[in-house]
Amino acid sequence: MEKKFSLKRLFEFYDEVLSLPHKQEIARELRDEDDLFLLLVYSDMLGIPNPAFYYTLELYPHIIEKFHDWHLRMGMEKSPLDGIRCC
Amino acid sequence: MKGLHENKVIFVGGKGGVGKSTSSASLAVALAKEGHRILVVSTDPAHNLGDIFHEKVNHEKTALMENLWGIEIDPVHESKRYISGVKDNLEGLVKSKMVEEVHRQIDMASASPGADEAALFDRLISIILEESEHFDKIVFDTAPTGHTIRLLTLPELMSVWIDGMLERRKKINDNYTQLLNDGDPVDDPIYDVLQRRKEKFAAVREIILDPDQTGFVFVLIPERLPILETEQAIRKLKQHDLIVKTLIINKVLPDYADGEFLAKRRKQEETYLEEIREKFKEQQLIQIPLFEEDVSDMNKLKTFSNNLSDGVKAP
Repeated sequence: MEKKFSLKRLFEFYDEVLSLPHKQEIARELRDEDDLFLLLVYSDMLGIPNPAFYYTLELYPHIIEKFHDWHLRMGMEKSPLDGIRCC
Repeated sequence: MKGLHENKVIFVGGKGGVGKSTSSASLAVALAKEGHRILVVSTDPAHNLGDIFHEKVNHEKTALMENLWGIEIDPVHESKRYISGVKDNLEGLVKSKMVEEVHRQIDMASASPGADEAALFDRLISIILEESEHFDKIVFDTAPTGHTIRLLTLPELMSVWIDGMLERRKKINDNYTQLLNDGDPVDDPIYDVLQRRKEKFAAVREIILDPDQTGFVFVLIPERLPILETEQAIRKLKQHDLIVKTLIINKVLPDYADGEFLAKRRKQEETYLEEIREKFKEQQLIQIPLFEEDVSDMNKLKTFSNNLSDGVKAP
């Protein structure tokens, strides 16, 4: 069943065309935020003291996947941190 | 401001060697004899509770006498428990061939400086939050002054960090929700774990900072260094809104101690006692005499605690 052509559909289509490139941009921005969070949590492994480091270990299981994505994105095949070995 | 008698949680601190553990134990005995259910907890790595009560005390509740139980916190044991919890959470999240490597890494991380302290603190929090309902009062025999101040100020420090992480995390989640998820909230285990942590710290801070619920006692002897150290400790704790309301002056020479030597000694001691009365006007002072023998068994402990009871009861 073919949808009828209407002005409303045209606007929707136009909206999508416009926002698609921005979506990627936004995703990239948000990923940067995520990366910053990673740094905040595991700064201790880079030698930046974090008094709550011991308590960040309980986040480890949830973060290890994200960390893996990160170092691949950064063009590193293997994890650069001794403290996190994901591959 | 309520007296020690109404407090739910009592921290006993002081310089090494002034009789902290004996005082904590005696205080616990005195309160237990009145019919309160008491838990006495040692956070000092050099545990003395077991030696004082001639019982083997470990990291689980041990009955010491009627109405009195004891715990000696073992940071290494606590740390292991926490780490094994973290490892259990890894199940199914990491490729099976990686598990061993990851475990090794976690073990390394857990050996970082501060891990023991954090583990000890964690257990302290659990005891305050979970054991309160089983006991009328919990008495903490703490480590020498510096450690104690750090331990008591940790909730504040940790809260700041956890709050910081939580805020960042929330911002990230909100952004994802609004910009990429069409307004549907994202499910974030990291946020949930942090939130649970935060709630725990906040609950304990509230108890420690409430003078009706928590009392701080410092033990000192009439000598120059302990006086200076106590003064400093009171000042430091005050910066964190923790008010020390009771001082136990231990090992004061009794009147019947005879001889010229002791007479001279007493004269000097009087100067120090005068100084203590002068300096610590805000605190209730309880004097405990120096006994002829060590406080080494239950009878002597009871003598000590009788001296203490009179002081604690007095307004």
